[in-house]
Amino acid sequence: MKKRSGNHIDDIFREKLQEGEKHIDYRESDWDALEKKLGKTGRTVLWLRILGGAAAVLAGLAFWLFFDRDPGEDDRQVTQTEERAPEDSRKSPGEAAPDDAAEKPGVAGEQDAASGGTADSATDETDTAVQAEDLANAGKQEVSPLPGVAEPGAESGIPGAGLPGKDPTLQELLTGLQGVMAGGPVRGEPTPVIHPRLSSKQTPLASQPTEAQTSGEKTGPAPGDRFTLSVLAAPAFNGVGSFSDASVGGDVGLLVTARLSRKWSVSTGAVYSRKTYGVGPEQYNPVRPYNPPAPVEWIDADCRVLDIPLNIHYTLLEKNRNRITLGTGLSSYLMLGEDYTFLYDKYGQDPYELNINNENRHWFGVLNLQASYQRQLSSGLSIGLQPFIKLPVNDIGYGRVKLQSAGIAVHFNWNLSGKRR
Amino acid sequence: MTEERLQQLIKACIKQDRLSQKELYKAYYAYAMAIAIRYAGNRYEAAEIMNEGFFKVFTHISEYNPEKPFKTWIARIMTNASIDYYRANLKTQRLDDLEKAGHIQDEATIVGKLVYQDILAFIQELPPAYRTVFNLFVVDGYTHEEIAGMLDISVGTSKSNLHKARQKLQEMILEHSKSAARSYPADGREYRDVPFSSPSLRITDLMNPNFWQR
Repeated sequence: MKKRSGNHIDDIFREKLQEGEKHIDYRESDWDALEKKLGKTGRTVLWLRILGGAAAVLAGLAFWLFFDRDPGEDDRQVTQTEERAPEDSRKSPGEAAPDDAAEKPGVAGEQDAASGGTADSATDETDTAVQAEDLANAGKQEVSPLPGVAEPGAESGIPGAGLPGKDPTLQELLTGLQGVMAGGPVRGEPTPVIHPRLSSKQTPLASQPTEAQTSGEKTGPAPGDRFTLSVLAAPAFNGVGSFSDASVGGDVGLLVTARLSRKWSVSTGAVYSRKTYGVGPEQYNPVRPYNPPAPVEWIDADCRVLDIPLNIHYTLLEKNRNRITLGTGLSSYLMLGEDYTFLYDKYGQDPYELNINNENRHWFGVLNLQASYQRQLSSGLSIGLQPFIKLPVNDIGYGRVKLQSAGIAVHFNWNLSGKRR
Repeated sequence: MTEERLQQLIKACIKQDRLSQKELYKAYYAYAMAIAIRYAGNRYEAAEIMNEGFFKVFTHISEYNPEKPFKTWIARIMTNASIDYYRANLKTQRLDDLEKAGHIQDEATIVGKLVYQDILAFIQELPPAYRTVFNLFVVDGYTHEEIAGMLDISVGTSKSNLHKARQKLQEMILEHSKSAARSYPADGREYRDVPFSSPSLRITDLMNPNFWQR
């Protein structure tokens, strides 16, 4: 665990400081201060323990009183709600149950007066009429809670009704439902069905996608945003070999992204990066050998770099206004300026500063790995967060070190194509 | 203190016997204070650090392993108390900027002639960050990796602070040697017996008879 400094001056300091015990006189006032601390703390600890115990008891009691409920109570409430639901669905559409109201936002304002009446007084004929009305109204709904279940009754003269020219009975409705389950929906067509007791045909009305559907759940937009210009800024940690001695630098830059397809895109640009780090002499291999005046203990580096990335991105998920991508690629580092400060392991030896400008180039010498989350703000503007890590493929800079960086970039993106996404 | 007496005191301290605690305190007072004062900026800070360390000794004395030297156990507690004190006061501390120091020749000879009080005064003049790293590395023998873990800093910062501590000490040695050459004739007498305080002159210094014996 311990090693001794080989520096002679250090040895003298150590020897003299370790004999300090001989020069120290006892002071009673120091003991008085400690005695107070020992005595005071003892009483304080006792009171704290008492209070802590009381607080724990009170908390347990409160929890038991207020949060310990019959676990079956909630279930019974749910059951009662469910029991009411079928009953409520047979009522006049003007008296839609809460669940139906959530699924059919247009129901309340679009009911036919002829369909009025309560479920209790409805005869079979009235029920059938209600069902037909439900089918008609279902064709006007926006989003289906049962994806894949298409609008029924397309062949009848009544939109949303079952078989042409015939009011659907319960058996027919169930048969239709089975057909739906077997056949599945037409891919890409809107799925506006709300009512579960419907057959499998779409209506002309239902086949027309609503505005909500075109801007809602889409499987993926056409690549209308062919080119995107991005401005980014990022704080980043920089270290050699690891991040244990990492220092914080920063990046700012411009990127251009070209979308090749709905899933793939490529980007390039220019990023000005300031990379500060520290490194021990064992990891520092200068381009030109040098003979230091004393053993080097540490090297502080401050480098300005022009980072030219070339990355490819894959869109992992694109939904509503959100997009998640993964990317990789290679960066080229153009070392605009490198400042190194050499600290020596010797008393009286001043640090040595070395400045190098525009000397080192590392083409495709850094591997980029990144993930990106992007949020569309408007038709042409989006904002994103991009955690990234840069790993050296080649040795970097005058010191030929394994410089690596990691950070999170914030970027603002402008769609240069001018098309709505 | 004999080993037998030490064990008796430890057993009594476990039972929180105040008299035994005081006897143990007095027995290791100088040793503990010598450690604390290297990390402190002055005697009062050192007393605070030392008492914090002894508080931990007495509240955790039941955890002491009798197979290991008691002094080593106390030394570790005092060092940790010093580090805790340093970290707790980080926000109120400042790091002095260093000016480039000129080379001096034969500094080892000058340092060799300095007495404990002078060396201690130099150490206490260091900024807390430098002083802590210097003590841990040079005097207590920890590696930079260990120091980094103890102080929650990077290895590079530890090395950098050590370098800066040495530079600062070198400046002080240079200044001391110049002032000694100006103030004291070369008659062979050593510069010593400065009151136990920082190098800055105080009224109490003038009241100390030793101060006038040149």
